[in-house]
Amino acid sequence: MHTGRTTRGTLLHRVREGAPGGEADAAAWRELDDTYREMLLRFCRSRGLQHADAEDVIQQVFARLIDGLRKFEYDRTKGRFRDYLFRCARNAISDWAGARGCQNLPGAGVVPVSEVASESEWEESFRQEWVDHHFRRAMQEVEKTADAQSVEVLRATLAGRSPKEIALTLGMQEMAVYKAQQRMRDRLKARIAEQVEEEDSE
Amino acid sequence: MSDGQPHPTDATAPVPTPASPTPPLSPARSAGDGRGQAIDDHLSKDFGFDSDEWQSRARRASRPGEVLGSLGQYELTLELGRGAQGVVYKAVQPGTGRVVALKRLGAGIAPSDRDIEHLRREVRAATRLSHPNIVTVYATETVGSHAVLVMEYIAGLPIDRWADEQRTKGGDLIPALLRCFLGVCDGVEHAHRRGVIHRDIKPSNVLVTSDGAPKVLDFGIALLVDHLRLPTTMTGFVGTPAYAAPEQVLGTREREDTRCDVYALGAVLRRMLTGEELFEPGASLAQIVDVARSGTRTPASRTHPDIPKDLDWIILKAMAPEPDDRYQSVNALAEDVRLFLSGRAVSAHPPTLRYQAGRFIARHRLACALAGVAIAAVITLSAVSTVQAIRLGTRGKELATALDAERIATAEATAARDQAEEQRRIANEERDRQQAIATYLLNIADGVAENSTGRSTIPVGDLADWFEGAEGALDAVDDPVVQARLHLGLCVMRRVSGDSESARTHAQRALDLLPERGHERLRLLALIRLCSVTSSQVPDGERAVAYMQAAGLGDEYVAIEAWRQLATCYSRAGRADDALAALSKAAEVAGRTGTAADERAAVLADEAAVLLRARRFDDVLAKGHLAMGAVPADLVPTSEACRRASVLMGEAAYRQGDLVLAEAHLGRASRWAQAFPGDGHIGTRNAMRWHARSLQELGRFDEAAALYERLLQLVPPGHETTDLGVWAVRYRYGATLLGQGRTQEARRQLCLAVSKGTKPSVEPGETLAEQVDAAHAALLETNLQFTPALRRSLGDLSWLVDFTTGTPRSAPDGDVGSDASGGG
Repeated sequence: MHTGRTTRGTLLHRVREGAPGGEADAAAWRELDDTYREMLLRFCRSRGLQHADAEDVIQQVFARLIDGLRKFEYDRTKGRFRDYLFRCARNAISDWAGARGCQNLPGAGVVPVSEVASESEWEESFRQEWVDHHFRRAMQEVEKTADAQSVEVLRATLAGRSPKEIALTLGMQEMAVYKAQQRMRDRLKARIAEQVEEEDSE
Repeated sequence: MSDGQPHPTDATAPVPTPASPTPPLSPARSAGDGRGQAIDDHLSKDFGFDSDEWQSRARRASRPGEVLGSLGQYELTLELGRGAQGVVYKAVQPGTGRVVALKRLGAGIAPSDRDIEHLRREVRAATRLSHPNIVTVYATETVGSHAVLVMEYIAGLPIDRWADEQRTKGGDLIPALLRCFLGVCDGVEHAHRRGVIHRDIKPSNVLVTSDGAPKVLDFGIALLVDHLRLPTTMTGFVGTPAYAAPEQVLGTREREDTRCDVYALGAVLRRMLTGEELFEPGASLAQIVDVARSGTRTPASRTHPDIPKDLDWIILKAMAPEPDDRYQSVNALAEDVRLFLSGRAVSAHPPTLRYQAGRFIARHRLACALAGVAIAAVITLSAVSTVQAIRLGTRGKELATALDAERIATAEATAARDQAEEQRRIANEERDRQQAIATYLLNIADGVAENSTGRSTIPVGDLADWFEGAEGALDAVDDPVVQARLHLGLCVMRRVSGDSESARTHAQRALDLLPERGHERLRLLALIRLCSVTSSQVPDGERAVAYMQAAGLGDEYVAIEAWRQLATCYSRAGRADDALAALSKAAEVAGRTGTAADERAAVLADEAAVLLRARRFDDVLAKGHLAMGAVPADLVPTSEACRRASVLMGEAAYRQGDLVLAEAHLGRASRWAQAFPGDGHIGTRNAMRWHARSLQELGRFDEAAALYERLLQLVPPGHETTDLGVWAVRYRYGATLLGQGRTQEARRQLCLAVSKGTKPSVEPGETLAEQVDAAHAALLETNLQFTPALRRSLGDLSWLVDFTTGTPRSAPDGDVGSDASGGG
């Protein structure tokens, strides 16, 4: 996965403009794929799709996304990238369900305007996946760059263990565990801030 | 692993029609201002960073996606890839939270207990590999009817996709790709050293992390796949068509060895550099088998002109159809890539010289003898200096033309026997031969240049053997002049390869063969060569010069050589003034004939050498500066004459006791020489030796020791006991070690230094003092002496005597003791 900051900043631009010389920028497409595939997969599964179906839908999401980007349907000044991504995913699932005649899929099919609650449920689910997605990416990056002990502390914390337990297992002072947690929190926060900023840059 | 990742390429997909009106999930912010604030709000609200909430959100995020279920104890989070042999997942080990990659092999036949045991044994070696460029296999398990490999999870791109991405980034692409490729080689070589062959190296089996570090995966899997009778590719062999060696494709399984990995690495390198697959996706089995059989490979640079030719040869050699023609180890391949990266000549080359020579000789026996003459001529002329040899490369064509005239003359001489046939043959082969000779000459000239830079890829001695042997066509030449030339060439070859006895025989033979009249230049050259390979006696030198003058060759290039040779004779006889006079004659000729700067510098360096021998140190320094000044500044570091002058200046400063100045001159020479022509060259070793000595005496022991260690590594095998230089190096190295306080090792080196010299005959019953004196005498005979200071620090020399009499005993314990012999 490429989390390189330099390429991220221009990812959407590269998908949109293609490589120098008018060729499609396959590397940018792949990067987009690498970045969002897992999140989209989880989102689709949370909407009740089987794994194989989810793969089909994701294929459609990317097709729509790239097409939309190239036709300037997505405009940063009018909304965030994640909102646009959500609409692509939402519509791809609807189309897929429609084509399959799937009526029993919750929220599938054409959404009546009255069913606002159902729509916001989709949104909330997507927002959750989006948050998870950034946490995962940030943790992956931070685990690579932070010192081994801090990484251990983070893992143990996320496994639900108390600072006292962690201090005991890792042979640390409890205060040091708190400090490590603080450190990792700051790094995650900084990294996520970068990611979010990059996500919306063109 | 990432095989078959779908890419969104369906341009005809319906345009998304956003479910309108869809309110943004949170208020859109305007570009630019307030951006930082907006992100901060996000972080607090969505990610819970304003409280400990972030922990539970991060926990939620890192839980495995429940979507894929579990495999054994592992929770699957993502499918990474799917192939004929199984599926690869990203997974989490619940207890430890460790993220791993799981490879579930095949769904076919349930492995029996015996299979499992076998599997474990087979894979054990592979799973024990531990190397930064190899994906670690943590365990092999059996879950249900599946064999499962638990591996290190690598977030990375397959190396082909990675290379494609580098290409879009621009910058210095090829070095970046090659450095990554070298990492792959390191990993594979590591496995080979432990007896593990990969057998299925391909881009999707090499992942590159975001730091650019390659990781090879699936070592030993090919064996597993084979054993479990899992579906293989369409051809029925384990491997991937474009990356499988011919012996794999053709099913000659018993011949598979590490060299099939060399082939695959070559194919991977090709793919990285060209961005193209060797076969189109739809290539038929027939096509693949055909290519495997014929070994038809288009050089990559033909379709991609930006790929340097040397890389072509590297790839072609790695991908040779016959394993014997490939690099015989991954290391050899990597070494060549490294040579390329450092800008040096690679070992892979269009059909090797020997091969080319062999083929050529088979076709043109007589022409070959003449080519031999050409070689001899080239070598004769080029042996003077490396620079000249390189220059001669471009003169090959001229020489070939000149030889052509001679060749026709020869043909006419032999025509008496079989005129008609001979002439027809000449007519037929004329064009072919001219080209061949020109090519051959160029190659030889290159080869000689290469040889004299200490990277011998041409065994000059072997070439000489060939010419002297039954196949060598030496006797096929009737013309004594041509024969003489051949002998003169062989003389130089033999001298270069260190066989001065044969060199002298060839020089004498050349002289004997030459007719009394005519061919004066050749005769002079023979006289000079003879003088240089014998012990440079003054009468020999004077004979050559006298002949030169009588023959009226005083204004020709060859006269410079004659005068220089005579100067060498005088200098060795201690007649410095005569030597200097001879050299000023050489300089005069050089001035008149408009010789190259390096040649003039060489004469000046010769003068410096004479002056040094005469102990006129100030003059040496002055002359050295003149030599340096004679060569354009940018050529100084690669000029052999300047290097020699610098060493001489260093030695002069050393003799004057100015160690600091000496070190400066010698260090400079040593550095120049190590860069060019490299430390395999005798001149380089000499510069290094002197530099080390000055460092040692300045007390810079660590630097000196490093140089000595390198020098000892450079001693050619078999020369340990015969090379006087080796004892001197060991002696000095010993003294350096003492300086470093490594007494035991110092003694070992000093013992070796002495024992390689003349064995002193020490009679039992001699007094200790006598024995020490005998040992000391042995040292003196090797031109070495223990300085009083060194002797004091060595203490009682009796350990040395014991060693030299062949009854070694352990050295005394005391590091610094009184000098028992009282001498020094």
